[in-house]
This record gives sequence, structure tokens and C-alpha cells, in this order.
Amino acid sequence: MKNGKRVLALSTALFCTASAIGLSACKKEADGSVQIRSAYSTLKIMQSDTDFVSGDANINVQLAKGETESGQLILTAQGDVGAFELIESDLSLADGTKFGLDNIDINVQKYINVRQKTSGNRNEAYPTGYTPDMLLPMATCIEYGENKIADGQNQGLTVEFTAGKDAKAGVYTGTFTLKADKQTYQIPVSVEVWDIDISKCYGKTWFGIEQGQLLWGEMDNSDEMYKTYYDTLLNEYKSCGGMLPNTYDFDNFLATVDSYWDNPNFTTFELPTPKSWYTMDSVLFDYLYLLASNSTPVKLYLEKAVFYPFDEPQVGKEEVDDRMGVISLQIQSAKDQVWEKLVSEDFFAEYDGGVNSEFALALKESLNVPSIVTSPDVDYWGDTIHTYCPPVQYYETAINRLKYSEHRANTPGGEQWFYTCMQPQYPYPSHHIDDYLIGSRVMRWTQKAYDIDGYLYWAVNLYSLATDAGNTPTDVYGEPSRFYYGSQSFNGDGFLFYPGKGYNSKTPFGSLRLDALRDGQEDYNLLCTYQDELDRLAVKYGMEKTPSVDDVMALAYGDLFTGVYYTTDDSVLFKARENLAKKAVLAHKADFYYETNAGANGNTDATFYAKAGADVYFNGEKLTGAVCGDGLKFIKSFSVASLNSLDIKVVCDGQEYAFSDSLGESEMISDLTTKLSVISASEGSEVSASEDGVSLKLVSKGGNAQEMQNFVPRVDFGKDVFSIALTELQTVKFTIQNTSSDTRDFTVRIAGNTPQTKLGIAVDTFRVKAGETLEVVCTNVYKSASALNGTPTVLSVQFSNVKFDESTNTSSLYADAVLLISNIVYTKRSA
Amino acid sequence: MKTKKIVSLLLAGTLTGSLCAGLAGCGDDADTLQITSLNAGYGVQWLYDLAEGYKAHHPEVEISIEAAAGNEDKKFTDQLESGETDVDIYFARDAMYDYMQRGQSVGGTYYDCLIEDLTDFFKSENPYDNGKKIVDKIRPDILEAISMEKDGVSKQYTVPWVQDALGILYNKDIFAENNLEVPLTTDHMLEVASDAKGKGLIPFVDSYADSYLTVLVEDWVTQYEGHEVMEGFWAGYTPSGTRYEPEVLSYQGILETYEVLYQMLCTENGFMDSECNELTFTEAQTHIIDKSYKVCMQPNGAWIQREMEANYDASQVNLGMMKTPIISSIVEKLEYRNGTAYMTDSMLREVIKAIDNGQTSYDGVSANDFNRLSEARNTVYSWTFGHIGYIPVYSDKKDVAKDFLHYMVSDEGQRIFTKATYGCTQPYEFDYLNDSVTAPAMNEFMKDVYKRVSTSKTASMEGGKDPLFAIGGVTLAYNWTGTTMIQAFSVAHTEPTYMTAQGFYDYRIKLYRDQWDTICTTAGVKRGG
Repeated sequence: MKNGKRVLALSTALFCTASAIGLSACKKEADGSVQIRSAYSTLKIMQSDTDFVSGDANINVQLAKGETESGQLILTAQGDVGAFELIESDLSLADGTKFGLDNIDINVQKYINVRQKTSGNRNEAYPTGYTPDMLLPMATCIEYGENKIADGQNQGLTVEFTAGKDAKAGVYTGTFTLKADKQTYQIPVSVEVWDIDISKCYGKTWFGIEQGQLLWGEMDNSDEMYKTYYDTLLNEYKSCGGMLPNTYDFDNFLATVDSYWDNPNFTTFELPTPKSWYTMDSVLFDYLYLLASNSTPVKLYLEKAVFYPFDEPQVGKEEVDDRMGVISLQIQSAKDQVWEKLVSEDFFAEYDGGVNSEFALALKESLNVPSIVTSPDVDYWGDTIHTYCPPVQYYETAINRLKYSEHRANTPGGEQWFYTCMQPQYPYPSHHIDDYLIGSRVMRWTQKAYDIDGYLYWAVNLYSLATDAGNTPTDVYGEPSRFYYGSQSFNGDGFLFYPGKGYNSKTPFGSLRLDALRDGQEDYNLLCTYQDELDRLAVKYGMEKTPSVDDVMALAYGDLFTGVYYTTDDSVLFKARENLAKKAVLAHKADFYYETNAGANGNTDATFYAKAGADVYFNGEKLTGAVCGDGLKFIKSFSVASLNSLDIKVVCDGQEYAFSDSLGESEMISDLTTKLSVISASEGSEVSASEDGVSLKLVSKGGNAQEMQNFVPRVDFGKDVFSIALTELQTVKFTIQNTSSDTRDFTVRIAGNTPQTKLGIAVDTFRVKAGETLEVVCTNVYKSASALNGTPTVLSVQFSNVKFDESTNTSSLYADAVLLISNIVYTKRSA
Repeated sequence: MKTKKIVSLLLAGTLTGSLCAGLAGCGDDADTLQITSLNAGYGVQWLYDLAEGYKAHHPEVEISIEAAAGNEDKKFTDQLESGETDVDIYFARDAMYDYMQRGQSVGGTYYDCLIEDLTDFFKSENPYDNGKKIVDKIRPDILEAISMEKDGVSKQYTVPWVQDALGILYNKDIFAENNLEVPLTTDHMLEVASDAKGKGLIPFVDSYADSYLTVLVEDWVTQYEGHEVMEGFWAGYTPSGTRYEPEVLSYQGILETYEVLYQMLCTENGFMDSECNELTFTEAQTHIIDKSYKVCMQPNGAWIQREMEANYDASQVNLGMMKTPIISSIVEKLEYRNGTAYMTDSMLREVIKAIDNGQTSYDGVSANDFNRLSEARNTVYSWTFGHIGYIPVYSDKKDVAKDFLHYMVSDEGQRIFTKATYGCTQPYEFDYLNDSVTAPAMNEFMKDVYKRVSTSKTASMEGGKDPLFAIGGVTLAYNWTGTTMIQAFSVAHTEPTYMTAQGFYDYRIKLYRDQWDTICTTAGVKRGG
């Protein structure tokens, strides 16, 4: 299936200077003929696109309870259209239950002229030109006479469906009507509501609302307008707007927090920080104490609080170093003072155990409020920064992910976040107008996979143009870049909303990009909700190890992303969503879970768990279960070679549930002790057999500076270590034990045997600490093998020859090291 | 599609100077050839004079010229990408390699390249030059530098407008009056610096805020490694033959160069003017021109001639541009051994003198070594391929624009250029030293510069053509972030940015290694090639 790559073609519209709302200079009789196509909601289609992945003229949407999901129609005018309107109608289940017209919002996509590509963004799928972004409600569009389409141009419609948490599950169908001048079209609509509620938001978010900027767009920067933006962002888009409304009204701050506390989308709020870190006022202490002293065992206010004291600190600047140190000390000091005061006031006297009560310990833990700094430089700042929030691309490699997660583990209350802004650009995920939408949605799947706690976006409402002379007015509906870095533009950076003012609306308008962020949050909620179910089932069935949604979705993750690079195939995302949802529903309704493991004689054992009374079918065969904990357990052994997929059906409480899973390939094991003849090491290093695998004596090599920097101590596993071609490797796992006294970083690569290919293409980079053992997991290995500009011949594990001492800015050779590498376990890429 | 003029940009005053060579004046006149030019060291008078000369042939053609000062030329490509410009020719300081390598859509139309393909133009007969074609007239090495291979075909998109020359300037009067030798090697240069310091002179001046020390980095690395190796570097190859890996910055020549620069910049030697941190580039130029400042040497370019002409009487100034001293550690790359010892610096200087005297060999030195040293001696830093004119692909006056460019490179055009720039030259075949118009326009300094640049091979010949450099931002000489060479070498040892040469070499490699994936993604290249 095509992945949405578009080809621009000259159209008759080039003769005309038509815009989305203007009249063509080449007028044709408006009779309303339009070509109607559907498209994935994650596919952004430019006004003049003629070739894109599309479906029939209908809307099909799947969503969970407590979720909003969109369908997209693209109307392409075959002659000028003077007026169009899409009219919703009732959608019903077979039993007559209605979806509710109030839960349907029809939006018209407004096109903005991207005149210059975002700096560094070479996404050719979105060149300069009219690109959809703002979403204008259909009724407003009609009211302002903007429901026109110029001949040959596209008009996108985004239809949002919201299922309440108590919605009835099932497939709602109906027909919407599209009127376009003299034409009337019937649009079949199908909305499937999955029987799982994901209305609770997980993770944390911080989205900047600039109160001063509201004056430029809304002519109103009052606290009331700020609250309007805050509430819209929270309720419509499930994202937390940084500072709460009226944060600086200290006397009412607790009430403000309380007013949002039970909102399922409310996960994060920022505490204010001093105006100057060098002349301390009591603001840190005051807010911390207020919230701590009003907390109860069921309401720990500080659990949702964050500080955001510094943005993008520059390394190597003495004054910045100094300031960062002061910030760290001041915040910690305030936390300590609050605790001391609570203790001195006998705050915990009424609780069993007093200061050592469960509540006290929990409250003390909550005092470790994350202090977020948007910086990737954990090697430089270390513990000076409490919670790192690097740009998303810094989570690309395993070694970086390890650094941030280790820092979190070693920091009381520490978290790890990520952010996007001007950077990164495509092919990393971004929220730039001239970029894919799917990237920002898949980004939240990587958030789950990499256990990242929060996401930050710096500003949702830049409504002026920043220049060297200061902020100046701009066309808030037509100017895609609100600042220029040097002379380079960043389309869409700093704004996700459009002001309501221009259309006399009391609330701002959203955008396709904001919808994608919301949808990504909801995908994340679905993943987390499923994990909650798995946690519950682990207890129910007395499992030794709690299943992880990341393991369950491993194959889907591999299809969706590698590192943080995302797929541009929208169908992959929606297939993954559906698969995830079905599993989550089964877990929720039938207490169902299954897993596969290597069995005897090369077979695979599948273990199924289900609620007592449930019937489980495996590829049409009804299984026999045994009592397990509070439910049933079923085991089926099969040969992967004999099956194409796993088709599972569960009948429980009169309901039937079914889904199919791709068959992940069996893991194959390579006994390295029998493969020594095809394992080689670099000059001076040695490979020998050990009890469990191979022992690598790794030797560095000296010489002049160039020789030292270019030598690569390495061990190469020849292609015959594997029973399949290197280009067929999906996942490769092995264990590496570092018996030396140096921590060693290493990169796994697929390499060839020519001078140009001998270094190879990286799969991922890892770190194994001195004296420790690391389980190495490499995914999508075939991609590196396929990318090699030559014949891949080895899987190479490559180490650094020199270590860099940052205190002296000098390099020296690593001492000789002995590392033990155990059996390689690998899977073949599925067809 | 008719392009929209960006009148607002002009009115905002971001471009300085506006002079119309035509009768009709500036503005959105469909029959006016619109030219926008950088106005920096070489000035723009040459362009105005050229336009006058062209109009003498074509009185019916109106020409409008806008001059962009200083760093304003960075906006040229923004205008190009917007599609909303009426400019027909840009004279810029930008090799435009990245634009040659990628297509882009503008206003709904996709172009393979946003600048006009001039390949056929280069092969066309020049009506102002008795039919001589640019491809036959341009210096072959410059033609190679401006060419981009696409689908196996060598294509041209830009036309150089000046033969750029940079190196170490020296005040001849100060040297003569103080018996200072013009150094032949870097060890020699440091000895001369020490000698000068001992005589109360200031050996070197630079503007740290706008430094041209990068010139020396490219020269010395290229001398040490040789042009053939550097071709590999500029194509993104590491010393071990892999491609697009951070070890591309590990060439030994880079460390050797840093060692020399460290000695120039370090506080313990005290060779640099104490005001380098505060001086603007123009002020630093003044310090080398005016011998009352007692400054001996400065890395700079030939455009200084304009500064001298404008502000000083000819009798007051006496500058030279020396051949860049050969990096002394080049002896490690030679075959020559005396027992196990490398060639001494004294002997190296003698060999260099022989090369300068036109000899083709030297007793006891192999032909390979002699050729190696000759190549090093005749290496010059020149960014001729970055001082170019180009035509937006959607210009509706391409024919006139090309005709103007033909005029520019003609003998007549070159005479106008040299006269207007006080002796600067263009990289096209022309007898500058004997022509009745150009020879008198060139003083001894400019003649020396011309002799040097026209007989030397450019150090950064391929510089930046590969996307790793053109788009990824990797540089040979300076950092895009972190500590710079000047911050490392020129400060007190107690400063947090202080580093030795080895430390800075190691630091730079680590800096790039940590960002390498992002760099390659930005450049659109694959690690491993």
C-alpha cells in the first residue's frame, strides 16, 4: 500500500490565483460536482494534492469510550463550488441506541500558505504551498461564507466523534448528507465504539499558554481569557497548560487546584518560581507548604505538581553553571523546609506511625516535585538538573535512554520528559505545519515504549510575529511562521491554536496538529489502560511476572518506529490501534490475556488466561482450560511453521470477542560455542570459548592521534552465526558481561568486508557498566542490513578505542578488557 | 506564474543602498533586469560600473541593483525559496551546493533546482568575447569546484565573480625596518614572531569576533595531508576509508594544525595583539595597514586593497601577502630520513627556497617529496567558488540575465571589474599583468596576490560540496556549538574553556560524535555511506 507519498501535478488551478476562500479568476458555473474521498485522519492533504492514499466516500472510525477520534473526507471540486455543507445525522446501534449529535463535530480544514520550508525540514511530501491546519466548525464556516471550493482544489473535512465514558459499545451507523450547490451526496458513516474506557489521562504534559500573546490574537489577555484557553486545552485536547489559571492568586490557589483535581485529564500543573533566584522570596516554600499541608492520604496535591525553572541552559557558560546550581539548591532547600515545618507542627500525629506512617512517607515522597529543565546534557549537568527533558531525538539510541532512565532512578522524585519545538525536524517527529501528522501521534507510542513520564510543548498561542525590533502584528490566520531564527522560518512552531476573535468565537479554534497531539495522548492512555488491566490480571492469576504491554505490542512497536523514527504508513498505526484495543477489551471484559513461549521440540506454547466460564477458541479449536487463581488457564502447543496467524475468539458473558495476531517468528538460538570459526576480533583482540558463550579479550591500539581515534576494537559475528540472512533479522538479543573496571559503550552494526562498508550501519548503541551484565536487544536489524551500501557479512559489536576525560579534555586508551557474550537469540522478519 | 515582488522587504530597510543603473529607476518594472548583490569586502562599485558598460551595448535594457550589506546576504536564499522575488541575478557569498542537490516546490511548481541550470550557457559562445565559451575560459580547477555531478553529468549553476585570495598579510615596512624574515615554515613563522615580540612589535593581529584564522586551518591541514587525501575528506571519508562517520575529523593534519595555532594564540607566548577580543574586523585591518600599530602579520584577504585605497595614501602603506608558510610537521609525511630522523626545519626551508626559485628538484630529496612540498608551497585558501552569481529558475528574464553574465566574464567585463576593485581579478583567462587597463589598476600588492592565486591550488577546492558539510554543517575549522578554537587556545590556563591542541582535537571529535546521528539526519546522508 502506498504510504501517502504525494506527487504534485500542475492543475488547471495554476492559471488562476485562487485561494481556499477566494474566487477563481477562471469562473465556471457552480454546480457542486465534487469528487469525494476518505483518508486517514493522520494524513494531511494539501490543497492542490492530486495523488494521495484514499478510500471510498465514507467515514469509518473506531474509538474507545472516553476518546475522540476523527474521520477525514476530501472534497475535490470539479468546477467552482459556491457553497457546501456536511450535515450530520443520527448514528445508531442495531438496538436503536444513538451516538448523539452533540458528540459529533464537523470541522472545515483551513489552508495556510507555507511560503518557505521549515529550516532543515526536507520532507518532500509537504513542499511549500497551501497546507491544511486550522479547523473551523462547519457552522462558523457557513456563517462567514467560507464554505466555497475553487475548481480543482481540495477541501478537507475533519469529523470528530467523541464517545463518552459511559457510551454503549458497538457499531453505530448512519448517513451524513453532503450538499454542494445543486448536488447532494450521501456519506455512509460507521463508528465503532470499543468496550473499554480510556477517559483517564496518563503521563504528564506541560503546554505553554502565553498570556501576553492573547492580546495579539484575541485582543484580550485577561485572566478569564487565559482560563478559556486553559480549559479548552484540558477538556478538548487532554493536555495540561502549564500554569493553572490565576496561579498567582495565592489565597485561592488551593481552590483552583481542587477545581481541576478530579478532571480525568488533569495530570500536571506548574508551581511558580522566584522572579530572581539570587534574591529569594518565599514563593517556593509558600506554594509547596500550602499544597503539602492540605494533602490527605487520598489526595496528595504535589503528585501532579512540577517546577519548570530553566529553559535550554547553555553548556560551558560560567554564569549559567552558577545559576543552575543555585536553582537546584533553592528548590531542594524549600522542600526540606516544608518537611521540617510539617514535622515540627506534628502534622502527622493523627496517623498511625506518625512521621513514619504510610501517609507521611507518601507525602514526603510527593515533596520531591520534579523540576524540569529542557536539556539533553545529562553528561554535563548530572545531578544539577532534577528532571531532564531533552528534545525527542535524544531518545533515539539505547545508550541515551539508559542515561536518562538511570538519572531518574537515582533521583528522588525524578522523572524523564521530552519535548519538541523548532527542533527536531523531519524525519524525527515534529509539529511543523509542513510535516507529517502521524509522527506526533506515533511519538506517544515511543513515550510508552521508553517509559517517558511527560511531554512538553513550549507555546500553543504565539499570535504575533517576533522580530529584532520586538513583537509586531501578524496575520494570525495566514502567517505560518511566527518568528524567524536568523532568516529561517519554522512553520507552526509556537502555535497550535487559532484565535476565536476573528470569527466572534468565545473559544479558540484547534488545528490538525493539536488533534494529532490529542489523539497521541489517547493512544498513550489506551496503552496505559491496558497495562492496568494486565497488572490486575497478574494478581488474579497469580502470575510470576506481570505481563508488559510493551512486550505484547513489541511487533507493533517494531512496525511503528525504530528508535524515534516513525512509520509514514498510516494504515500501520490504525492496525496497531485496533489490535491493542481488542486486546484491552478482552482483558477488561473477559479477564483475557495470552502469551507464547518456546516449547519442546521446536514448538511454541501458547498460554491463555480467561474469566471463569469463558470459552476460548484458538484457530477455530475450542480449548480446554484448568482452574487458575480466580479464572481459567489454557495451554496450546503448536508449530509456527504450520500457521499463518493466531486467530483467537473468546465467548464470555454472552459476548463474543475475536482478534488475530501476526505470528511473530520463533526465536532461534545460536550456540556461540559452536560458531567460533566464524567469529573474529580486531587486531590484538582475541575470541575464545567460555562456559556459556564466547570470551572476548578486547585490546585497544595506540599510535598517533589519528590512529588512536580511528582504530575500532570489535568482535564480528559472521553471517553463518545465523541460520538466516542478515537482511532477514528482525530482533537480535544477547547478553554481554563486562568483567573490566571500565564502563564500555558499544555500537551494534551490520557491516561488510570492503573498506567503505567495514564499519557498517548502526543498529543501536549501548552501555555496559564495569562489572555488570547487560541484556542487549536490537530491533529491526534488517533495516541496517538493507541500508548497507554493499553486501552485509557480519553483525559487529564495536567499542571505542579511546575514552574522553571531560575534566581534562583529553583522550586515552581504554585498558584491555574481558567481556563475555552469551548465546545470540534472534527472530526472522515476518513476511 | 507571475511572481510577487517583495516590496515590503526593500522598504523595511534591511537592504542598504539602492542605485539604479537604468533610466527608468528601480521598482517593479517588467522590463528591468533586477540584480541583488552582496556589498562586503569587494564592494559593489564593480557591479554598477559593469551595468553601465553593459548598457552601452544595450541601451534598451534597464538594470536595477540592490546592495545587501554585511550578513544581509543570508536572506537571498529566503527570497529564492519564497518564490516571491523579482530578482533575476543574485551575486552572493554562498557556494549554493545544497540548492544544487535538491529540488523544491515553490508556489505549487516543483523544480529540480531553484537556481537556473547554466550548463549549456557555459558551453555557449560569448558574443562579447569573440565567441569564447566560459567553459574554455574559466580556470579548470574553479570549473571543477563549481560543478555538481548529477546522474553522471557535470553541471554548472553558478558563475564566479571574483578570484578570492586569502592568506597571511604582512607589513613590508615593519619587516624591512626590523630585519624580519618572511617565514617559509611554521616553525620559522613562530621564530619570527618571537623575534618580533622581542623587538617590541606585535607579531599577529586578528578580530576574534570575526576571525580569519580559519584560512590557516584549511591551508595547513591541506598542506600536511595533501590535496588527494583532502578530496576524500571533503567527500566525507575518514582516514580509514569509511564514510560519514565522526572520525572524518580525526585526520592527523588537523591536530598538527592546532599545534601551530596554539603556539600563535596561547597566552604564554603573547604573540597576538592584546586587543584581538575587542577589535572589529575593520579595526584589525587598520592595525596591519598602519605601521604605527607595530603589527607584523594578519590572516586576511585581498579585498583589503579597497580599504587601503579608500583611506590611505599609497606611500603610507606597504603590505604583502606571503605564501602561507609550510607546516613544519609535514616532514613526518615525507620519505626523507636522515638515519631515523626526519628532515630538519632548516633543510625544509632550503628546499622551499629552491621551489620558490623555480627549481624542479633538490639534492637528496626524492621526486615524490619535492613534488609533495611543491604542492604544499602552492596551496592557497580561496573561496572563489563561493563568490558567485546565480539566476532564480523562475526568473522571467533569464536570457537577459545570462547575457549580462556573458558580459561580466568577457575581457571588457574583467577590465571593468579590476579597475573598480583596485586590482582584484576574476578566475577567467586574461592577461591581467600586461593588459593596458588592468595592469595600471594593480599595485604591487595586488600583482603579488594575483601571481600567487593564479598559480596555486585551492586548499578548500571541494570544500562543502558534500551534503555532510553543505547541509549537515560539519566544518573543518570551527565548531557550530561548544568551545571554539579561539576560546580554547587564547585564554588563561585557569579559564574553564582552556584546552591544549590535543585536548581541543579530542574535544571536537567527541562533540561531533555525540551529535553525529542528528548531523547525518540533517544532512540526509547515511552513516557508513
